[in-house]
Parts: sequence; C-alpha cells; structure tokens
Amino acid sequence: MNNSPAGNGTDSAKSLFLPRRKLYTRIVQGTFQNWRIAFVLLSQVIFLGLPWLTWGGRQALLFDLPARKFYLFGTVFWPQDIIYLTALLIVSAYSLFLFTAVAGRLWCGYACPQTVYTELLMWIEQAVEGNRNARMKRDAAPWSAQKAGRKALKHGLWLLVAWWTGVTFVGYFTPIRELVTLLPFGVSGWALFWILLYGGMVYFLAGWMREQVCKYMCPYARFQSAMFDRDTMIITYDAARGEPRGARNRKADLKEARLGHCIDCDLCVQVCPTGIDIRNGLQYECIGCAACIDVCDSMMKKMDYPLGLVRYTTENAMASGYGKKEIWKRVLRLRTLIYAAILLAIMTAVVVSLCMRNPLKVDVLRDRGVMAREAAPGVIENVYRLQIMNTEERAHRFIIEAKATELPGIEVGELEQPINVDAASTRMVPLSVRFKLPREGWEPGMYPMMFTVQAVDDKALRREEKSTFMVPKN
Amino acid sequence: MSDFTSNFWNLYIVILTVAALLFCVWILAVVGKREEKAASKTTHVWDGDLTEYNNPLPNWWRGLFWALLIFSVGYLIYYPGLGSFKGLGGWSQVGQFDQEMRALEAKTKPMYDGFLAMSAEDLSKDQKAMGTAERIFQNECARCHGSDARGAIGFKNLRSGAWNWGGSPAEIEESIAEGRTGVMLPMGEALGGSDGVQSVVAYVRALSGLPHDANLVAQGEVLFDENCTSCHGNDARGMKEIGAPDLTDSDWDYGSSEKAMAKIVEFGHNSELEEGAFAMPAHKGVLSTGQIHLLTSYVWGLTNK
Amino acid sequence: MAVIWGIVGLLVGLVISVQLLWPAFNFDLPWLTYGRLRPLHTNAIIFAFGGCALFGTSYYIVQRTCQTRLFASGLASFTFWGWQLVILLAALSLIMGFTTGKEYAELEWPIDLLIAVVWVSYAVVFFGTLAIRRTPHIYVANWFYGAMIIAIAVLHIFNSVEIPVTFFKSYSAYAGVHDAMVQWWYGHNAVGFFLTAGFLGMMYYFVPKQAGRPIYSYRLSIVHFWALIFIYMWAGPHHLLYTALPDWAQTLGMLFSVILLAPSWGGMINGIMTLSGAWHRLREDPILKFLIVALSFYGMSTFEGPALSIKTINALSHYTDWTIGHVHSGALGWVGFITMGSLYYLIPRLYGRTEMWSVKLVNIHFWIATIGIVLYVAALWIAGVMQGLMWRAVHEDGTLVYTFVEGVKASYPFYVIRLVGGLLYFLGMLLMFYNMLKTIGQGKSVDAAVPTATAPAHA
Repeated sequence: MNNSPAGNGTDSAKSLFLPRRKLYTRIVQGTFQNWRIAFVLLSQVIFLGLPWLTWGGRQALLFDLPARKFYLFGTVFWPQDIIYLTALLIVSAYSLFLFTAVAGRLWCGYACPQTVYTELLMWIEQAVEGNRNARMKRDAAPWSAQKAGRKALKHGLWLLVAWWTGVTFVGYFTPIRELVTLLPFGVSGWALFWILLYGGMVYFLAGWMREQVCKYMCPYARFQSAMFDRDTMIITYDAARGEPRGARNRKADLKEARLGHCIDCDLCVQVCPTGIDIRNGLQYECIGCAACIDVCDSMMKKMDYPLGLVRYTTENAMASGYGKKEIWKRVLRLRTLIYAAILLAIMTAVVVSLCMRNPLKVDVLRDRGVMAREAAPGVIENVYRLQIMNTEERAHRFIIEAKATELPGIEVGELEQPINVDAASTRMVPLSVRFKLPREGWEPGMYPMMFTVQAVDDKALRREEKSTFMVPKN
Repeated sequence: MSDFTSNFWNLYIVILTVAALLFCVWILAVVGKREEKAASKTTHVWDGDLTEYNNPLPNWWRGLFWALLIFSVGYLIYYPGLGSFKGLGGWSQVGQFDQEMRALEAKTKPMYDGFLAMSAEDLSKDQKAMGTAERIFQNECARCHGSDARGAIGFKNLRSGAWNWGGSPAEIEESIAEGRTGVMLPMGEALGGSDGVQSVVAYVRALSGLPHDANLVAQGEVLFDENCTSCHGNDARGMKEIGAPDLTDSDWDYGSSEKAMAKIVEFGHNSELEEGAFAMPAHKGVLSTGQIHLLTSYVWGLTNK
Repeated sequence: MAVIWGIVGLLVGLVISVQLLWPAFNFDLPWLTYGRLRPLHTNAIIFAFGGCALFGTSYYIVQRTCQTRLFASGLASFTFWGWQLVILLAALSLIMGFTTGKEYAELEWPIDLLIAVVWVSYAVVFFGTLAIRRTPHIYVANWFYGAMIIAIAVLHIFNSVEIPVTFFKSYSAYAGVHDAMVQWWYGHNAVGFFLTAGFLGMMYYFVPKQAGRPIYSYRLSIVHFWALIFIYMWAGPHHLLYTALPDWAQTLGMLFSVILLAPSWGGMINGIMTLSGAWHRLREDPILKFLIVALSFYGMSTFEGPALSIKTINALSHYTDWTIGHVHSGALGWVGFITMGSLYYLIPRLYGRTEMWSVKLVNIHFWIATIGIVLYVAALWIAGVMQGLMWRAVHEDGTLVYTFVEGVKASYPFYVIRLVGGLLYFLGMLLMFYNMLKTIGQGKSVDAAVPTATAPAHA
C-alpha cells in the first residue's frame, strides 16, 4: 500500500491529525516582516482614514446603497457603472493568478485582511502578555489576578480594535461623521448589526480562529495553490544545504561533524503563524508569510553561514541549481506574460473608459401603447420617454434633438426646452418625435434614428442614443 | 380540503421538521462525537490502495454545525415555520408587505398632506410636485394615454383641451377617482342605413371645418337634429354630464377620417360592453387621495399653463 | 481478474458523448429561438454531460471498489443506449418545441417514461453490483452514488406525474402553488443529488486515488453524508421566497438551506484534507489542480447558496443574473472541473496508459478554463447585483426610478464579458477532446482490471 507521498516527512502528516494545538507564534524581525508591517500600516491607515476624507463638502468615499449612489472623490457612480466593479473583481482575480504564479501566496502572506488583522492582534497580544515564552508560561500557570487582568486587558483591546474596525466599515456606507455621533445606541439596527458582524469577525477570526481560517475555511487558499507551477517562487528550505541538521558549536567544523547548515534551533517552527515546519517541504498550510526566512537568516548571520537556507526559490531552480538570473528569466514565462497582458489590457480599458466616462446617461424608451400615430393630417408621431441621468453634482439644462438620415425634417414635437435636471438626479422626459410625410407618401417601416441630448451650459456634456422611428402603413 | 377539518398535515410538518433537526443533532452529537485521541485508520481497503483515516471532526466545523442548528431552532420559534405555528415574532410576508407600504405612506404623508392643502391650480405651478406627478403619470396613466399624454385611438388626448367630462380640476379629479364609462349608441338603423350615416358624418365634418361632401350637409343636419342633439346638444357642443364629446372642435378620440367617424356613428361604442373597447377605470382604490389630487393638478396643468 | 469488455466501450461512448454534447450548447448562440435552446442547454449540461459522467464513473468506481464485475452487464449496456436515446429524443423534442414547461423537467411524458425505465435499470445494476461486492464495506463514493440514484428516481417520478393529452402534450397533475412546490422540490434536488451528491461520489474516489492519500476522515464522511441527505430534501422552497407559497414552507426552505452550509462544507473539508499530504504535487499535477479548484468552487458555491437563500439577500438577488452566476460557478467550477479531473484520470487508464497523450495540454486546459470562469462568474454576479439595485431603486415618493428595459440595456456589457468567459471555457473543452482522441489513438483499449478480491491486507 503506497500512500506516503514522496518528499514529505511523516511529521506533518501526524500533526495534521491531532486536534488543534494552540499556537504561540513568536514575532520575528527582518526584511519580510518589515514588508508585512508596512502593508499592515498602509492598509490600516487607508482603511481607517479614508472615510474621514471629505471632498466638496461630502464624504469623499461613500457607498450610499439606499440612494444607489457611490461617491468616489469627484465622481458619482450609479448602478449602471457597476461594471467597474466587475473589472475590479476580474483584475483582482487575475492579479492573484499572476502574483501566485510568480511568487506563491503573496496575497495570503502580506495583504489578506485575515493576515493583517491577525498581525495587528498579535502585536497587541505581545505588548500585553509578553513574548512567546512568557505567554506559554502564563497559560500553563494556574489562574491568578495578574493572569486574569492581562487576559482581560488583551481581550478588551482586541474588542476595541474590532469595534472600531466595524464602525469604520459601516462608515463607508453611511456618513461616518454622523455615525460616530450616534454611537453606540443611536445607530440604526442594521448599522449596529453590520458593526457587530464585521467587528465580531475581526475579533473571532483574527483573535481566536487565526490559522484555522486559512487551513480549513478559505477557498482562495486552495485556489492559489493550484496556481503554482515548477517555476513559482515558493518559500523553500534548501534541504541539500541544511541536512543533516543538528545542534553544534559555532566554531564546529561542519565536515568533521557531518552536519549541514541547519542548526535545528526550531525557530522557524516557532515563528510560523500556521504552526508548520517549513523543512518538511511545501505544505498546504503555508501562507507564504516568510517569517521563517527572516528568522533563519538572523540565525545564519549569527552562525556566520551564508543566508538563504530558507528562501524564495522555485522547484526547477532547486532541481537544476539555477542562479538568480535564470529564476528571473523563468518568471517571465508564457503564462505570466499572458496574465500580465490580460491584466494590462483590462486596466487600460478601465482607465480609458473612466477618462472618457460620460457623466450624462440617457435611456430611450419607446412607448409600447402607441407605436405610431397621426398628429395632424400627414404628420406621423412616435412617442418616447428619455430618462436623463445627470450624474454630476450640479444641475444642468439640456436640449434634446432628434436626427434620422433617412427621414428628412424629423423633429422633436412640442416640448418645453431646455430641460432642467437637478444635481445627481434623473428625470424622465416624455416627448414625441414628428415626421411630416411628403406628398407622395413614404415607405412604411422602422427607421433608425438618433437622439442627441446636449447640455446648454456645458458643450462637452452631450450624449447620443440610438432608437427607431416607425412609419405605419396607411 | 382536509386542511380545514383535521390537524393531520400540521402535525405531519411539525413532526418531520423536528425529526430532521433532531436527526442532525443526533448524528452530530453521537456519531460525530469528540475524540481527543489521535486518529486511527479504519481497516477498510478498496481497489488496492484506497484507505481511510478516521480523524475527528474539526472543532470549528462542529461548532459551525451546532451554531446553525441552534440558529434554526431560534428562527423556528420566532418565525412561522412549524406547521401552523405562527412564530412569536408574528412575522408574515403579507404583514411585511403591509408594513413596508405603511412605512412608505408614513414617509410620504407629510408631502401629500401639503399637496392636499393646496388647490390644484397652485399645485400645478409647483415644479417639484409636478416631478412626482409626472412619475406617477408615467407609471399609472402612460400605458393608455401615452407618455406624452397625447393619447391614442380610443384613449383621450389630455393635451387637446377638449374635455368630454369637463375640464375643471374637480371634474378631472372625479374622472380619475371614479372612472368614466361613455356610451355612443349605434345609430345606423335610426339614420336609415349608410346613406344617412354618410350625411351625418358630412354635417359633423362641416361643423369642425374638416373636408366634406357639401351636398350631404343639408340632409345631415336634418338627421342630426332629429337623432343626435339629445346627447350632443343642439349646438353639437356636447354634454359633459354624460360625457358626450364636443363635435365642433378638432379633437377626435377615435380618429378624424371619414371612415373612422362613420364607423362610430353606425355601430356606436360602448366602453363597458364592447370587447376591445376601454373605459377609464376608477383609481380611488389604486391611488391615494393625495396622489389623485396631484395627478389632477398635473393633468389640469397640461392645458392650463 | 474479471474483465468486462462492454463496459470499456460503454465508457468511451459516454465520454465522447460528453465531449460532443457539452460544447455545442455551452453558450447561447440564438441560431434557434432562445426559448427552445435554453432548456436544451440545461438538459444537455445536467443530464447529458453530468448524467453520462455519473453513469460512466459510477460503473467504473463501483466495480473497482466492490472488486467485482457489474451485476447484469447486459442491463448496463441497456442503460447506456437507453440514456443516449433519452438525450437524443430530448434534443429533438426540445428543438421542436415540445415541452412541459417545468424547468429541468421539460421533457414530455413518453421520454419521462423512458427515463424512469432507464433509471430503474441503473439502480438495479448499481445496487446489484453492491450486493455482490467482494469487499466487506461499501466505499463512501458509492453511498453518494446510491443516494443520488434513489433520490433522483423518487424526484423524477413524483415531479413527472402528468396527464397525457396527446402523444406530445401532457399537463402536470398538480395545480397552482402545489405544482410550483413540487417542481422546485424536484428542481433544487436535481442540483442537490445529481450535481452535488453524485459528483461528491466522484470526488471521493478520484481525489484519494490521484493524490495517493487515504480519505481524511471516515467519521466526517458519515456525518456529512447523512446530514446532507436529510437536509437537502427540504431546500426547494427557497426558489419560491416571497411568492404565494405559505410562509411556513418558505421559512423551512430557507432555514434548511442555511443549515446545509455545514454538511456541504463537510465534503469540502474531507476532500481538501485528503489532498493535504500531496500538496507539493500540485505544482506539477494538473489533474490535482482540477480537483482542488473544483473543491474550492464547491466551497464557494455552497457558501453562496445558503447566503442567497436568506430572505433579505434573496429579495435583492432573486430573478437577477446573480442566480445564473451562482449556478455557473457551481456548474463550471465544481461539476465541470471535478469531471474533467476525473476523466483525465480515467481515460488513460482505460487505454492501458497512466497519462494523457499530452500533460501539457491538460495544463493549458486548466489555465484557460480558470481564466474563462473568472470572467463568466464575475460578470454575472455583478450584473445580478446591478439588476437588483436598479429594479428596486425608488424615488422619494415611492415611484420606481428605472423601467425593466433599462436594466436590460445596462446588462449588455456584462453579457459580452460572460460570452468571452464561456468561449474560453469551451476552448478548454475542445483541447480536452483533442487530447482524448490522441490518447485513445495511441493506446490500446485494455480491460479495466478489477482488483483481485483478496482479503485486504492491513498495512
């Protein structure tokens, strides 16, 4: 019976099948940790700060769901603009594909909210309860006032962070300045629900569940692993260099002692937020946080060994001993280039369409009750409604014109023009279009026509919409 | 239906629901019970190399399942679900609908109260109110009267200024609220067949300045005085009490061609009985008094700027 | 060593029909009217693609894991030809416009009868084989197949009770809201048992086989199997929230749909944890990639499903393209990928090989399909949200902001994206077809050896 996979030690297999052990993650220092700190700070500054920005007298970023208006600095998006959200989703997905193909679970390791909040709450834990050893000791000790106090303080701080995160989240959907004045009991039921839900998720998922979210619940974690290939840079333990592992004196002669570079200090296990041993090879739990690289490098430095016993490298590189140059050359393989090309294309399209975005939208609706009628002898009339949507935050006045190359002299019937449409609002304008039949008659049928809606006060604000005009049989 | 006489189906549902939930509880609590000892392998082997570990259920999954089951029990207590048990929360979808409608009413009541306090004439000058009125018109009226309110064959043109039932705000309001049913009697026989019909048509066309056969007018006038004036009046200007239209103006509800007019004269028109003909329906149950008042001022305002 | 020639041929026939049927109907070119092609599309995907895959894999698996030949192999051949006939008749009758008007059960009564006969024969073959098994226990994959067979038989027979008027026309025996209820009891469980339980059976065989790992937890499989079976049956009414269906039925439908999250995820956990020891192989093994992504989509869809069944969310999402997006993330992501992974495992083994003709092509298929699916699903999700937002937008005075057709107009760009996504997915399928032909061309059809039925040695 062959069911032990090649390359994987039995340790990880065993650890998998134990009930969850509580992890006491040691917080490291190092290059990659600095990157993570930067991402945590950056994301939190953006997340917590954005709702407080104002723009032209209103919140700069506000998703007003009941009004179906999404304010983004100078622009107001309407439901019809939600296609940009699709683009955002697609760009996110393909970016995930691209980054993962290049260097594994970068998203998981540095940018995922689960990682960011976990990191945040772990800092608090460290500040209140001390480092790994202190925490382990305290947990093992019987309950005391001091222990209870520390724990209470930790959870209190966690809850505070969670609460404020929840409030901020809701602050993207209701004006935050108004919201905070109503806290905690004045806010509406739904607002409170979402604050508690989002905050609760931060508290439970990042405080309590931690690595279990990544290990069991998150489907994207799986998805990403399927995006790896032989040229993906993954955090890898260089077994050829490290083994045989073992403790040794700093001055020991490795050849004589028959030891590799791994000093078996176990630090890489202690810093791992998912509690695995990277030396067992690629495992599905690895979120690619590179904490083990940082800590191993710090040990290597102390030992005066070359760095990078644990490092980002590819399977092919390990097998064929590629240098940096070859690895990078292989990063630019067909697959990543295609992803990059698609991404570039979509992003260009988005940027171009955003730049050319017309703040005036028009829907033309033909009347269904009356297809065509005779307004006066020899004058055919079709009825339309124009939904004029002014997404700009100031009122405009519009002139509506009708054109049809095949119907000379076609014009909009009696209508009070220009038409005023208030700031960021829509107006339904019913109107008729008339066509005077020449004496010799006219071929019945549907003719293409065009409405032009032109702002009186802004030359650039103009939109053309296609429609049809019907000339009935006699 | 047995539903009315026995409690069987009610119990059936209750028992099945509870049984299903209890089954989940049982399988989770007993079969899936917690075991702290490290997992073993089952001894089963299939197809050469297919084997099974027997790991305990992940705790978070067990917790999730429990939470969902507890949630469902709570939900079933609060909401209707267990057969005919209505739930402590008293929720029903009809109730929710009514509640939302009432909420909307309560929200718009001050606005409509304000409208009701104004005369239709004043209201028709109020830009914002007319915006609302136009939207209601598009939703409720445009299907027949057209988006531009100019009507269609058989549907009143509301911009012509010719009112069959009167054009004062009070009369328009009555038309909207109570609806209107007009009757044109079939006159073919009384007029002595199509010749008579043709001459009446010629006379009526002469009255409103439409092209007509001048030779028929004199005879038409005689026939008109005999047969038509009781409704349309001696001066042919109509009678708004019964909705008889003015025949001297240029507004023709069923078309201004000779053919169309002859058809109406000969066969008549009964918007209540005739298939394919339409009466103006009453809107008092459909729209609130405030909305009717608002629409009245909108319609009135179309011809009274 | 027992060999069944007919089964090999049967499987190949199935696989080919799968390949041929799926692509032709994957995207809706309106070369015939949409109203006729749409039921053809759903029937072709669910019953032709899904059905053939289930028949084929279940016959394979039940023999492998019972370590015996099929019971009544003649009857098995009959189910193959019978099912192909059903598909053929379905395709013809739907294009000709014969329909009962019941979603996923559009076929008219003569075909319904044929389905019932074929399905019962299938049950006889399957359970007969289980009965003569030479292993002490029934493998977990077979539980799921078995549940699927029984449940679909019940569902099909009860939903298709109809009164024939002519040879081509019948009316449902139920009226009004009863008909709706029975229809969606059937409709949702077609998803639940056909597309979930059946394909979980597939997962439970091919995942451990390809990963070379034991199933993660026997206990978990028992708990989630029984919970899934018991709860799925109740979920139908969530298609009828806020309709004439009585409140209590709606509540139960929603509630059991929400509970369903747990048992559904049970299957996902078992699959993923089974793969966990073979993780390093994901880098090179595209079949594992298919399987793992299928499980990811399974997890996402079964989270999305309960969420959509909650009344508050349903009020926004119902009748919009969100539902279509949800179905396709399930069908393309879960059903499609798990089937592709399984077939890539199965096909070479039926031809005495261990690998497809080109593993590289399998890889390319995977990359293309994932790119396509992202486009497809993202477009429809968001289109659904947009439609929900537009339909329910009201002015201060309570009047609607948008007419329906404005929502349609705004959906247009989404449909373009979706078409591109569908095309890519289709392209991947073509690659698979080509690869399969090459594999068959190079290999020799061999007898699928049934493992010797010695008492398994306990390792």
